[in-house]
Amino acid sequence: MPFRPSRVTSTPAIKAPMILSVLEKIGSDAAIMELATIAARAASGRTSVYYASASQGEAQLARIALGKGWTIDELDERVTPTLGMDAEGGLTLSYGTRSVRVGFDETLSPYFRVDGERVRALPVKRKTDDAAKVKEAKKIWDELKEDVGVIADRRIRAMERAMVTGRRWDVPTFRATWLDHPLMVHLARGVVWLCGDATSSVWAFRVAEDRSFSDENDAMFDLSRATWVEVAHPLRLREERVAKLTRMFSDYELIQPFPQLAREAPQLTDAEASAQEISRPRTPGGAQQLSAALLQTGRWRQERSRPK
Amino acid sequence: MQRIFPDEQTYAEAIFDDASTSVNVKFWRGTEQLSPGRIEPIMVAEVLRDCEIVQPG
Repeated sequence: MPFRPSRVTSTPAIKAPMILSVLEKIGSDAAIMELATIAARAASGRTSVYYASASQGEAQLARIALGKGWTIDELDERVTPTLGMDAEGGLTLSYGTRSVRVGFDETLSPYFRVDGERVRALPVKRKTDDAAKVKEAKKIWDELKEDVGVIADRRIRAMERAMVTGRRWDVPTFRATWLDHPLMVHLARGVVWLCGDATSSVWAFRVAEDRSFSDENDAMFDLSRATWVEVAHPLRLREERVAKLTRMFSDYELIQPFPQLAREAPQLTDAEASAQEISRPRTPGGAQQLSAALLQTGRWRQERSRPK
Repeated sequence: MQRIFPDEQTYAEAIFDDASTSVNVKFWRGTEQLSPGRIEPIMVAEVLRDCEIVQPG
């Protein structure tokens, strides 16, 4: 079994920085993948034997990305682990005489298929099962669910960030990042995408279970006409299309990994657009509480002085 | 409170009154104040959403 530093839960303090440094020097996708996993675990609040704080891991990844000429999101996309998932985006665990199929929904929450039934918990051992294989399956599952949780948290935030910033992928990169990756494809099925060509034509589509594409009328959609793809912000979709797609997602019982179709998308009035500032009433809630909540999003910072 | 936009030159400034019953939002690029109409609409929407300006319902 290969050495996985991200699986080490205790190591002498003096060795931990050395391991991080060696991984950075190796610089291969696999090495960076390990670093990204370690950093993501630290950032998710787990006690880390490697980083004293979550920001240290992020700083190291940012340095690596800068050296390679990538953004941190581009780095993440290139090194997102597949965690041994097969081409269908799942995994089969052996219980000896029977097997348990692990699958994921559109939020990367796992489920199991046992005897045709979909269940949320790993099935308990039966008398007819092979005890050693069940034990091994449980070990694989315990490690897998922890890693998937870390990856889901990180990639869902990146996906939402891409929507807000209007980040675009060319079609081959979109396919490699979101469709061909056995874990990311599950997230891809949970959102509405926008694509367009060199003219001003824009189309909305979703990724179906079989990885084909459907438009807002649930008709087959041909992505080959597009040159770019982005995560659709509801403001770009317009209200009528949002309503139509919301019904479609509800019909297919698709769960969105973050608020997209249900996202509030306030627009400026004509007067506000030409004014110097926006002034709006809001639901009372306490300025301090609101400030704390905004700071927690990581998108805001406290600034006492006015820009000079 | 300030929100930094992706290009790190443009940002929003939100100031709430003490009871948090209203908010004033200004946009800046460097030291120049920009009217909201000159900002990418998605960015404006996200800032307003963050500020919980939209009333429930």
